[in-house]
Amino acid sequence: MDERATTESIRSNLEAKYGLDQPLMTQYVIYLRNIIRGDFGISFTQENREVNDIIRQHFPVSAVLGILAVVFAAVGGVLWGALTALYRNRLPDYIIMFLVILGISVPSFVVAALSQLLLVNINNIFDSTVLPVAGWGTISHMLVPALVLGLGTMAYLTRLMRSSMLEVIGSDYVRTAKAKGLPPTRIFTRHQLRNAILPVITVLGPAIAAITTGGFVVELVFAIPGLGRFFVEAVQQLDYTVIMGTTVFYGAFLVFMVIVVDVLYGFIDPRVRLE
Amino acid sequence: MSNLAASDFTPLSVTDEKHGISRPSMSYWQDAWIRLKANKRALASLYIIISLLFFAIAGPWIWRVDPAVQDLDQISQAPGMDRRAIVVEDYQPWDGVSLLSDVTGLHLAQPATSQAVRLGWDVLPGATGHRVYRNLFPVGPELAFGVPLAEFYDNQTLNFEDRLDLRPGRYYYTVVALDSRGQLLESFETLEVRVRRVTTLDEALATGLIDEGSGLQVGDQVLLNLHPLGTDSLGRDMLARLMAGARVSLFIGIGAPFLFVLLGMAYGSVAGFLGGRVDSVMMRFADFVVALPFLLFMILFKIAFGIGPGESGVFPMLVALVILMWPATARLVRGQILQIREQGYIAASRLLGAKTNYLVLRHMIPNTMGVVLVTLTFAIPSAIFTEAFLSFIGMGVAPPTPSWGSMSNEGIKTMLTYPHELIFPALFISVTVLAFNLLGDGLRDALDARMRNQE
Repeated sequence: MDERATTESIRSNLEAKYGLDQPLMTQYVIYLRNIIRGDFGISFTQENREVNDIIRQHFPVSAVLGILAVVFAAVGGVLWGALTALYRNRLPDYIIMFLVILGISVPSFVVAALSQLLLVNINNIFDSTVLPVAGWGTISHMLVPALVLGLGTMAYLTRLMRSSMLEVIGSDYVRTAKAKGLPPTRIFTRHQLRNAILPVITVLGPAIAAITTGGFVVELVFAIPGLGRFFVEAVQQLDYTVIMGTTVFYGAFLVFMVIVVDVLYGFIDPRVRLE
Repeated sequence: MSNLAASDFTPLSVTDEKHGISRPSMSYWQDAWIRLKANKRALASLYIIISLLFFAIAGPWIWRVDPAVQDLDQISQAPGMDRRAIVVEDYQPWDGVSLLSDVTGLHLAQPATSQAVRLGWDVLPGATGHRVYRNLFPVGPELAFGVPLAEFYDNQTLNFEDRLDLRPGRYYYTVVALDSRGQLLESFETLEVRVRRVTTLDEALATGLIDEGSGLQVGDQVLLNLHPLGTDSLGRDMLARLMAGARVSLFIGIGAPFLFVLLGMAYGSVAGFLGGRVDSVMMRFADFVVALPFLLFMILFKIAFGIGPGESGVFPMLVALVILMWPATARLVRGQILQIREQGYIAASRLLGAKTNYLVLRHMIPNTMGVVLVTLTFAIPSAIFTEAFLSFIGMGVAPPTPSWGSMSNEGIKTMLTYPHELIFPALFISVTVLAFNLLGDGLRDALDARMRNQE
């Protein structure tokens, strides 16, 4: 008998505690009933901790980080994309597209590690903590991780925005607007940007999902107590209730975000509004 | 009208001259290939991809070094061709006698070798004891002494032998004075030491560097094993590992997209062709798969498959990728098929008696190939990223199987001291992803008629 083996009575007690002595179907029905009541059960490895508590404490961290990253990605992507289209084949276009290609092809963990190194050096130069290198708590903790997390999406959105902006710039209504003598800023904000942004909104839903669930690496490198880290730990320790809970929760969150984006789409483009 | 002659109404002489086609007829793919060749970036990317494949497939045949063998003489060796080592005698314990006793201050008692660094020093002003530090960098104004190696609480012991994990290169040894309570005093002395790589006869024999009868003497030079790109933290050859890692990364990165694009193509064409209820049921199922949180499920699949000891985990990752990533292609192909189904040539072909199989295989699928090829090229970088990402968080390929992602994961820990361990795998990932992205751009421009006049 090795030291981790349990006696028969301990085993049956444990099984009874977690309801594992029931037939599989019954377990499943119980689990589903609990989920409907919003109860994901108790963690297998941290025995006094409910999965709900873990989600409640750590999901906001991931969500704030994810939302900030999405905002960075969307604003940056739209701005850079519009800029490259307006300055097509000129210096700003080349510079930004070069950065975009870097952003697409360098893995996020390398970017995360390098940005940490950069932060250390900046803090050294100013001899004070300009931006913290790791950890969580204040706005200044969030900025760099969010930027790193959103970088890949930003690069992708920039490319998308650029091509759709190029299409819009060559369209008839823009020419008409110019012919009417509208000021360029008004053409840009009212005609070009508003039409070119639609494809970006479409991919924003999946992008939000990818960012919020893809934060593991950034959370790991920057020591952020987000849900992603708990998930990875739970998988490594076979903590089934936590795995199931976070997965179901993330799935629901993802569907919710896609619906939100769909509704948002209706506001921005009246043509697709549902009857 | 009146000046028409009868001769105007004679038929023209019939010539054999046919309608000449002024330019050679060109198929869709020939046309696309010509356009791709004109795109310098895409062509360069294609060459890069071909050489990467060559690197992965033929590399291990040319560079015949086992990626799992540890060269303990050369741990974390930086890239370079210098592999000389001096043969020294076997290690002898040191009695603390300084061989260069006429030197004052912090000094080397013997030439510094990777076997041992032997230091001697004089009592520092005000000291009742000393602490010895070692650093990889100069001490500098912030007094970063480095790793504390030893402490002596009397002024009797004025020598120290360092054998801790010595590598060839530059070290900065510092001796700092201690007061009677063991607190640091202000006086210290620093010495820059260049450590030479040495090996003993026994070690050289054991690792097969020299033969029994080579007649090598102490003090001679031997050449250690060559590691052109250096070694990792366990002394494994980086070049061999990069090649083996390329096999894993490219196998997953190309194999998985190939399979799931194939699956998506079959699924999408069936759904699109059958249409109606079957189509909507099939597409709802695809939507369901899309709604699964991708990375969570990648990790879950890995665990569900279970990896026994000695398995690399490449196959489960491949399957998980295929299971999760096919719906995008399926949707795309279905959309294409729905469009093509209504085209005139399909109706014409049907009218001529074409069977369903013939229609799908001869007309529909070939006409979606352009889009599918572009999807495939763009799916490859994302699959490579996924593999690297999972290996990075330790959920990917199981060690010792190398992959670029797991190599980056190991390298990132010693990013500052041994940057080559991170730079090489990260560079390979970046270049591969970049090449496939640019090739994808080029293919899309070449194959998609709508994009032709844009960039």
